[in-house]
Amino acid sequence: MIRRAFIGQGRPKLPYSPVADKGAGSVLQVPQPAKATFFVDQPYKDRAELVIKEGGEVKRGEPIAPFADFKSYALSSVSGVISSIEPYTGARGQKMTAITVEAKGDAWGQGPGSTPTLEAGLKYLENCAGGLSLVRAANSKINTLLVMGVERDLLATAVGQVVSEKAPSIKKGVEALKKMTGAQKAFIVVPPGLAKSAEGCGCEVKVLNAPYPAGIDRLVLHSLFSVTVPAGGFPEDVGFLVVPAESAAVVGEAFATGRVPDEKMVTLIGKDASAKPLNFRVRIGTPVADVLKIGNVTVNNSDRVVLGGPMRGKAVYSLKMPVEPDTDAILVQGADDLPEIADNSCINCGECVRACPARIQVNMLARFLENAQYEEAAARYDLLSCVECGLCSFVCTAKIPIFQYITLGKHELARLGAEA
Amino acid sequence: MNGEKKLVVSHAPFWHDGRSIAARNYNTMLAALPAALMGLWIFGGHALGVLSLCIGTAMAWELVLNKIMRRPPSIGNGSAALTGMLLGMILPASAPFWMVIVATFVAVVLGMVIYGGLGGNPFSPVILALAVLGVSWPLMFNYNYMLQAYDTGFAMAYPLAQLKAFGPGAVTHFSVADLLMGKQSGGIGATFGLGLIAGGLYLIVRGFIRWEISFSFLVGVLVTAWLFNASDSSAYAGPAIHLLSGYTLIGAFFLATEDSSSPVNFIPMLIYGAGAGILTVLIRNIGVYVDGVVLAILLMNVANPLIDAIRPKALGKVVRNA
Repeated sequence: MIRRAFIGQGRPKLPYSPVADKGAGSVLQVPQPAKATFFVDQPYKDRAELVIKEGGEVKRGEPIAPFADFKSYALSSVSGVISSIEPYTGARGQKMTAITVEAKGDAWGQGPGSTPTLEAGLKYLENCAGGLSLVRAANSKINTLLVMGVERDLLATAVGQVVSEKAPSIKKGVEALKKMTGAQKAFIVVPPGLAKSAEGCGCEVKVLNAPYPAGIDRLVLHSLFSVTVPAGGFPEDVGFLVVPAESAAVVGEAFATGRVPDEKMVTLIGKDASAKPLNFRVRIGTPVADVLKIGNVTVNNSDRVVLGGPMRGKAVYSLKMPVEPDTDAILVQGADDLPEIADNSCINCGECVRACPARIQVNMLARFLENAQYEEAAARYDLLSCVECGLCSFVCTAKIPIFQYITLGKHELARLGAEA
Repeated sequence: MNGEKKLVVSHAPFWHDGRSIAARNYNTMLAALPAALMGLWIFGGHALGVLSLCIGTAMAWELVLNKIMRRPPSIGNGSAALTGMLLGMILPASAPFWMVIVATFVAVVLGMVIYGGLGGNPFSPVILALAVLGVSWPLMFNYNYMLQAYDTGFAMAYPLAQLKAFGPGAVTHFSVADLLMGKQSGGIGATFGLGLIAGGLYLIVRGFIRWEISFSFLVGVLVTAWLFNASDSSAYAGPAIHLLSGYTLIGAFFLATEDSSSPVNFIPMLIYGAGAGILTVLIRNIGVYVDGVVLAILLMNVANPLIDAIRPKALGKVVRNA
């Protein structure tokens, strides 16, 4: 854990883990899991609505859509038989459907073909490794692709590993995505160590040399492109499609081979802070326990296991939870390494206000959120401008879980909006 | 779920940089310690009694209120202790015990707890207590009267009272070095200028106070005093005496910077500090009170929510014009 320095003026300095061109590190392979679990972002209300059944067969790289409207689906990473379909509630209260597949054999299913079209992308590539989403792009005018070659969180090196070893695939992917969306320009944002690899990606290279949270998409757009995404809006609203580098590589390989790659690069960060985190190639849907086993990390009672990094990840309650398409890292914290959270009231020290990259008055925002004044918080104190970097909670003197209040506020606001 | 490990689940972030309310308050007490120790050395046992009673009763009031309100005890975070200590540093060494108890009652109960505790107070608790006491028992803050029994080996006079009564000619014998070394009359821990400056710098370097407030406060005092002095040097003293006597230094580094009652944005911090500094000298030079720091900070505390509304536009905020 990075502690505050003795000299305490200024914003916290949290550098991203350095990554370098070529041989960023060896990558270990996690074998195909016996069972893989996928989440579909659609609520499971009634058994009668399901169009797939337990016992049904699926193949690798094939979309599994549990409902007739095909609004959302998961990409299977194993070939086998569906063993369960259950309702699942996400970490932020999302109502979803969990599908578990028991692996048998290694057959590939039907892929998107070789012609890159938006229809093919929507049908076969939504939520592929890296977490690409094309739904909003389909309804907006996209003129620029922004390939994110910077890490999403601290300690992770998975994105850097992908950029350094898959530049040719990224190049193909960018060409395909240009055809699919009609974008004319493409940029790739990388940390200084990857500038050389990025040149092979067929995009204009932008080097981002700044500490966390500068790599968050909205902040990149603001600092490198002077484009501001409106509060509560999306990059698509201003004509940018943000493409995780890993997804770009997947798109490239999918149209070149006709199969959607179903593996994901994941950085495993163990309890020993001095040990160098290793990267693993993992099938999406693999239980976390499998990765920990290959990485030789033991987990005890009262430890914490996080999908993602230390600032923006989500803690899981079971080692059976799967690696998801946007899981760049798995972080394991020992029981004696967990920081305390408190229900103190805000003392108005102003650390959060100085740390906030979105210039939000976090001290006031926290007061409104604590009192469940969500609409007021959004209207007067810029709740929706938050880019979710977590620095406010990280620096909070009173140890208030501000980031959690913000997530709750956004969730409740969305719920109120849906009811209205 | 048999045989599964029980994991701890919480929301991101999973790191914290380790700062805490307690560390903040105890470090502030540490920073105030040199000036307080100098006061104990000059005034001896009485000062120790006043200071101890201040800290003790401030903590006792908070604990009593915690019990009455059935809240978990909050005295461990050091805020009551710090409030008591700063209050004690401003009281004269001969302050009677009942005054100390009333002072800490006003500071902790009326200044902090009734607003919902630490963080809810609109005024600095110490400043509020001093204002109430100063209006109620003005003689108690007449240091020339209160401290006349002490033989300290140097000219025991309260510079600001001399200045008010006899004009700038009466304070020419205070050299800057004497003022910095505490060779003046005043509150127990408010006279040792060098100690207060050292403590203030420590707090700024460690990031426990916001330097903008201290800096602009001192600049406000300096510039205003200099302007008065330049306009009529026979009626108004120079900036040095204003900066190094009375509560200026303890106000700049320990009172104006109280978290809850001061702004957090850059420009508002400068306005707040400078406003308090300017008002201080205005009250001293043309007001009826001997020292203006308490009322100046109190007034700026009132204005704080309004000043702190001057803030940068948040990322992506859409301003709709009617």
